[in-house]
Amino acid sequence: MKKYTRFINSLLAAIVLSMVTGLSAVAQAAEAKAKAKAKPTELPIKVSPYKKRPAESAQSIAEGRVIYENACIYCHGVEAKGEGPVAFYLSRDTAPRPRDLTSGIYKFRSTASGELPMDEDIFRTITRGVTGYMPGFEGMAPADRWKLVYYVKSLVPDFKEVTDPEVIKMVGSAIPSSAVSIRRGYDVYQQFKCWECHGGGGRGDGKKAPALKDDWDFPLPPRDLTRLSSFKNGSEPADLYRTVMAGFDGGAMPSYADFFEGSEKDAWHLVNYIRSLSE
Amino acid sequence: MKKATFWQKARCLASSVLLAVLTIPILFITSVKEAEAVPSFARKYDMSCNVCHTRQPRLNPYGQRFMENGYQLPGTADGGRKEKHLLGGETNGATLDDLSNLMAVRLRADIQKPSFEDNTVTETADDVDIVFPNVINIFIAGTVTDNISFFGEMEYATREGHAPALAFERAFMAFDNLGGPQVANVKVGVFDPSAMYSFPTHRQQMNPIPPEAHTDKFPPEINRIPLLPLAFSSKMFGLTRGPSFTEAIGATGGVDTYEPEEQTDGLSILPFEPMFYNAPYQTGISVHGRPFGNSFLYQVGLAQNQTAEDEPKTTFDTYVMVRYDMLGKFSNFQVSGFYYTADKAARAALRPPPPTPFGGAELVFSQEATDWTRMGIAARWQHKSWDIYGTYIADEIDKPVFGNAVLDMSVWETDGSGISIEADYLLTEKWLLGVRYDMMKPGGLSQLPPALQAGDPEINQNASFLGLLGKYYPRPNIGLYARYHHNLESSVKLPTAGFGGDEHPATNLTSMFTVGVDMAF
Repeated sequence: MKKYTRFINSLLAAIVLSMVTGLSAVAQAAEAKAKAKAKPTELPIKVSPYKKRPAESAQSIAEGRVIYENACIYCHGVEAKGEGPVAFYLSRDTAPRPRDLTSGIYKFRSTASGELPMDEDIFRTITRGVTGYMPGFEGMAPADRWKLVYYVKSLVPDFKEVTDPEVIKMVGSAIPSSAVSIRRGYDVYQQFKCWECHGGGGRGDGKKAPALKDDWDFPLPPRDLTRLSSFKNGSEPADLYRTVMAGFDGGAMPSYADFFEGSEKDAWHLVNYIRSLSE
Repeated sequence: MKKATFWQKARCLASSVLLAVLTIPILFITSVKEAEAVPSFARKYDMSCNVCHTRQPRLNPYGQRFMENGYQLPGTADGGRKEKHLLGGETNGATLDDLSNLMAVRLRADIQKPSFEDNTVTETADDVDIVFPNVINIFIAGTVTDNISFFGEMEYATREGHAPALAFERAFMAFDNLGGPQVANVKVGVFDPSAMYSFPTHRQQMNPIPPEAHTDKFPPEINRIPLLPLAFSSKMFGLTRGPSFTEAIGATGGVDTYEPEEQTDGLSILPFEPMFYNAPYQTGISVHGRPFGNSFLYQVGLAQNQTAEDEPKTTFDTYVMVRYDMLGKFSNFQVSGFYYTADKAARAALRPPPPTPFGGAELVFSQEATDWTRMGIAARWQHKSWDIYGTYIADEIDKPVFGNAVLDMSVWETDGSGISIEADYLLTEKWLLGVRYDMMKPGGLSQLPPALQAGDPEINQNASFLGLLGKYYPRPNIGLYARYHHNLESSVKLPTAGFGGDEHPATNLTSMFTVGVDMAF
């Protein structure tokens, strides 16, 4: 009898495990379904949903520093140069490392390439986080997030000089997805050679992908466009439009604002095509 | 011990492989959403495991702060996040947290190949031991609302010698940021107090390999000592949990005596058994916080225990821990110290070989239960790819008095100490190498009374192991590993001193080679 005990124990364990993982899978499927049904949130390029914000002052900056030392220092480091103790474990050999907040180079902007971001851009990044790498701090009080924005800005002197950065203009609005729109988006994808990096199927396996690096010389694989939930700058139509137009400063994704000038509708078609890759 | 036949071994191997073949696809098909979205906290926040772990299961400083803050992001009280996912669609959905954001599973499985100096005292001898899966931990953890969180960890161990049932290894609630941010966080329930120490033991890169031992005998029958951080071991030979584990049949000259057949499991305290400030299943309450800023962490707590007196009483061990943290460029340094005291926690015992001078009574307890104190210091230094951490822990008990001229000639050492040091190096994104040194200089019973021994060596022999680890992470949540432990004392040939067989348990296990998988999803 004893010789069967281990087998029975293992079998029971496997059954328990399967039940648990099965439940988990059901929950994940339900979540995905709910997400798919949800209406996309159309955020304007210049996001200003947070009107009640504390005044930007020496005191709010100092308070922001305290918040930084509680919430951000482990990745972004004591000197905010992206050299926290977690940085190396988060990305040892590849990008993205936590951002050097003193560099003045911002990836997630609604401003033209090379420009400083809007306050709202920093606020949005703090709130949403960066999928896979930085948690979203939506649980932090909005006033505290604003103070954090002010502290982060205080690390870059240019913020005092540049008060009116060139903002990417949102022309038109999201076009309802359709076969025609997706087809046009596919043509744009081909025309602008997005496939060179993102690959023909959008899986991030284009011929240029292995050689891509960020400004700090870390390998930076292009995004797998078939995994909408992994998009770092958001996956809603307005998010993708902003990404295409503004690019990622410090990364390998350039701004396509000039290419789409006068034909911004095509950018929305491209957005529909990209989103269709995950369906 | 009768050895398994070739066909028995083959059947065992075949059944394990079959289960592996059946189970692995289930795991991969049903569990993994995407590479960077794994156990429940990572799923909840859409983060990689490596935001909180150096490499799972070991926490990095951010993960430590996340844990300290009641499983809320450091610097926040986001337990009340309203991002509730709908289960079952928009119309029929229940507005509960998504199940996958609350539940996680950790699975460990390995193949072990021990080598012994003397196979006759072992249960499994030096056979290859394969069981798949070996241990399954099911976590249910999350936040109820702002600053109130819960954590449950059920463990199912399939290996023989463990109860084949689900049992809560940790189950507690936490009430956080009482009196202001970081001032006081209260944990109530079953938890491991050492979780915030600089050398927390339940998140080791080298998972503990449990002992093969029987504690219903005295001295305990130790077929194979465990492989775990020896610094936390009880370190004391000759102690028991007291007469409450047996039925008293009388007293002789002030010495309580008991019949061996009435003893029950748990009587003996293994010298290699993790105890105090490191015990799973330890019920208690603790308070921790950082009221003076980010550099200093305090922890005070009570742990429920039972005295080893004739009439056992429920009591509370007390402990205090302080930790100093310092952050630098790609680095983190911390040093901590703790003090733990347990009143009347154990009772010394002797089992004179027959014929005994006590008229047939075989097990003799000391007159008083001993108080037990434990102190430890630990440090951790993490810089870029290096994560180095170690602890020194010293234990002290009272000298037992048996009230008998013969038994009081026995030699007892009231102090014991141990060291565990580990260094892990992240060679690449996916490869981690580790080395750990464990040493225990035990106390407790050193010599039987001269009348009861015939030139036996010291009973409380030193134990020390060197462990090597290579771990490969194909994904952040899956670690495939090979590890090897070598007994640095195995060359010392020692009689068993009453532990059964011909070799002392501290020297009998020569080495252990293990390959396995440790995954969480």
